[in-house]
Amino acid sequence: MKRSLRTCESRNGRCNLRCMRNATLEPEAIESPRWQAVGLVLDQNARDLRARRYGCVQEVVSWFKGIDLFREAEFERMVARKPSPLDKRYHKTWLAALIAEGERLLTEIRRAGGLPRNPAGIRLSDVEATVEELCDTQAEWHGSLDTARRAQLFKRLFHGPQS
Amino acid sequence: MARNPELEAILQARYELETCEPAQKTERRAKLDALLEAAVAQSGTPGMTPRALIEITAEAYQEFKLARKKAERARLSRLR
Repeated sequence: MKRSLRTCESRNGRCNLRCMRNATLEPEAIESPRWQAVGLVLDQNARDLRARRYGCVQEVVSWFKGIDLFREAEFERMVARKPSPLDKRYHKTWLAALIAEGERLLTEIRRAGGLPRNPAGIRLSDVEATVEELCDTQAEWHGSLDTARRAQLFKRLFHGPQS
Repeated sequence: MARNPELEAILQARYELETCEPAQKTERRAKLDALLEAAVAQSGTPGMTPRALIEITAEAYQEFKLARKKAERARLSRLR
C-alpha cells in the first residue's frame, strides 16, 4: 500500500491529526461491498481530479457524492453494528482520503479565484465547512483520548454518563 | 434518556450539518461552531477545544445518530 502522510491543516487549525494523501488501497481486494464501493468511487474521483477531467464544479459535486457514500458505509458498518478492527481501518483510510481531496479542491478553487456559480449553489465556504465536518469525524472515531478519559471529561462537562 | 440540553443541541447541530445539502453547509457549520464555542467557554476546563468536545461526545453522538436514523426509517416505512 502506497501512502504519503502529511499534517492536515484545517481552516481553524483544530484538526491536528495526521491524514493520508492519495491513500491507495486496492478496492477490489476489500471484502466488504460497502467499503469497496467507497474505495472505487474515491479512486475514480482522485484520478479525475488529477487529470482535471471535468472542471472544478463537477469535481466538487463528485466529492460530495463520495462523502454521501462514505456516510452510508459508516452508518452500516460503524454505527448500526459494532465495527471490526478492519472496519475502523477502512473508515480511517477513506476518511483521510476525503479530507485530502477536500483540501486539494480548496487549493484548486482558491487558485482559480473562487468556485463558479453552479446550479447546486455550492460555495467555497461550503467546501471549507465540509472539510471541517470530516475533521470532526476523524476526531470522533480516531481521536487520541482513551475511553476512560473521554468518560471522565464527559461526566464532568455534561453531568452524566455518556450511555 | 433525558440529557443535558446543551449536549442535545450540539448533537442535533452535528446531525443537521452531516445530513444537510452541500449548499447549506456554511450556515450549519456556523451554528455548530457557536454551540461548541459556548460549551468550551462554559466548561472551565483548561486546554478544552471545540474538537476535543467532539471527541468527548463521540459515543453520545453515535447513539443519537442511530436513534434518528431508526426513527426516520420507521417513519418512511409507515408512509409506504
